[in-house]
Amino acid sequence: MSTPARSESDIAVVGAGPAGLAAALAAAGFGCAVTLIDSGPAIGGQVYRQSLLGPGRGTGAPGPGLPPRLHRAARHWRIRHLAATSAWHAEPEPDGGFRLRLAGPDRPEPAPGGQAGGARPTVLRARAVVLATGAAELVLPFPGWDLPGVTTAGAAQALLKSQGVTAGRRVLVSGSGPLLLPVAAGLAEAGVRVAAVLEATAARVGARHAVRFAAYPGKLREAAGYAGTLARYHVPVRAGHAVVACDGAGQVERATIARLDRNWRPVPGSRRDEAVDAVHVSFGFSPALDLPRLLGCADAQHPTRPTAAVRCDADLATSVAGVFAAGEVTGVGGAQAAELEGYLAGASAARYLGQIHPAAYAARTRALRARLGPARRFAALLDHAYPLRPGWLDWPEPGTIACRCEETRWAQIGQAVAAGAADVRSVKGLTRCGMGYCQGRICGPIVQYAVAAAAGRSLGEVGDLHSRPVATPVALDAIAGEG
Amino acid sequence: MTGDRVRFSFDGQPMDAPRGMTIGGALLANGIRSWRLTRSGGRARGVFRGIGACFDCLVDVGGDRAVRACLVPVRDGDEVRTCASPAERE
Repeated sequence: MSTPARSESDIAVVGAGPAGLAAALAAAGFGCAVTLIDSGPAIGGQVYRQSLLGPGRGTGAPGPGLPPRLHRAARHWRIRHLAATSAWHAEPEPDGGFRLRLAGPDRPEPAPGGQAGGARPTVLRARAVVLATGAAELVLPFPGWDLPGVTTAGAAQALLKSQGVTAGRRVLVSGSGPLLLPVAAGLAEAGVRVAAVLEATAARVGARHAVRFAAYPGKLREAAGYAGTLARYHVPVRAGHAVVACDGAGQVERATIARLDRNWRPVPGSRRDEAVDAVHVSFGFSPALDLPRLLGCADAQHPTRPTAAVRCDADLATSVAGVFAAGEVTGVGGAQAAELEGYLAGASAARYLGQIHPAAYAARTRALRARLGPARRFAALLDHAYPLRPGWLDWPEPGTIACRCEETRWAQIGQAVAAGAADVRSVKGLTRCGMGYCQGRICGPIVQYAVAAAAGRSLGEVGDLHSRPVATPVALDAIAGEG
Repeated sequence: MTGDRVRFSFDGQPMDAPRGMTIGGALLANGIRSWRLTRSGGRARGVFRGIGACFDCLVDVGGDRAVRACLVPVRDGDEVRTCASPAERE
């Protein structure tokens, strides 16, 4: 147990992806002292993930590098970047400020001077907060989804981008959404045999939206680039299909592919097995709401997906005075919208602290708002183009793992609802799902969707597992050492 | 090992990996797919989400129990072991 190292800052920005970096730069540009907190080893977040293998040791993975305009955040004299640091708790204080509690990595690097962790504060007081905590990948369960070799598509991309490592030699990429193509293209270029890309959304559903994408030629060029790469490596892209089961002794050896009807129910007789040693799955993203909920920020349930997003006004102020939000946590919109929102939220936080005159604020944010409109419309288009359909509820078997941590079985969810549990919290109490290490980060949306379907209620009515006293699991001495 | 590579062991078996890799990356690069057995089912687990959120990839290394292999860099001389029954971290 040690005395907590306290620190003060005008603004705490949580998350160093495009939204957090832009917010930090904007606020610092208006004269605010900024502390930028991020759990990663380097700035960039998930989308601009940098190589861990050192400068000049690129991993060869395709994808955008961190733009120089954002990289400036690493060197700005008013921005202090705390890398490999988790904000595990946040609360408003009586004087109107905020207190964040911070923890370092699982295993601190021994500093040359002897003291592990160096000058990392464990308590940060800030007068305003910008939440740029990003989003978590959504995965839907199927028999064998917990076998080693099944990873999220984002994990496959992160391993490749940061370390040049791949999880399998012959793989399938399955799920729904715009992440599947770039992940598959990256793996193919790295020498992985991608047996197929399986997009659950039917081709005719996608075609209905295609004409509207014509207004975004840059995005179309990007998608065409990935499609061209996949064609070059003879990787088939099959709409209306998905991996619905995996099997193997101690790791994935076979995946079962099924054709799906328009509601994602497997078409009888369409199942066939494919020999693979890895399957990379993704069904989109859901905003990371732990810190917003701890701070008391109101959020809004997505009408059709088991996700919610922080509610913001036009200036990206949340329902809590002094707390602003930007990027995926306000609704999943991609890197471009996230960066624009970051500049706006940073400026709004600076105005809140009296660093900008309201007239100057209006003038300085006008162009940003004009660019945000199309970026958000594009995000809404993607959201509509990849709807989550209820047929996935037919994929798991009674014995399929629903909660990977507590090893709750799929049948137990239905049994709990049949026994009278009509919301996610009651199901958690009866089955232990969501009580393990990850605190429902993986199974929370799955259980929310399943309970809503089984109880005949809306997603908003059954609640979720985002409200936790500790936003990210930490060692007990971090809590004990906190004053 | 000096320079570009780090030498470590997994369950007693000597391995090496490029410096800077996480333990998870280093194990995958050496063909190891799983390094944890779940508490109640004894089911094998490895990397799943890969960004520190799912805690599937917990591993023991030296005196440290149940660290996230997807985040923690591998160091020279690390003795990495299968995490068989992760104690609550304390």
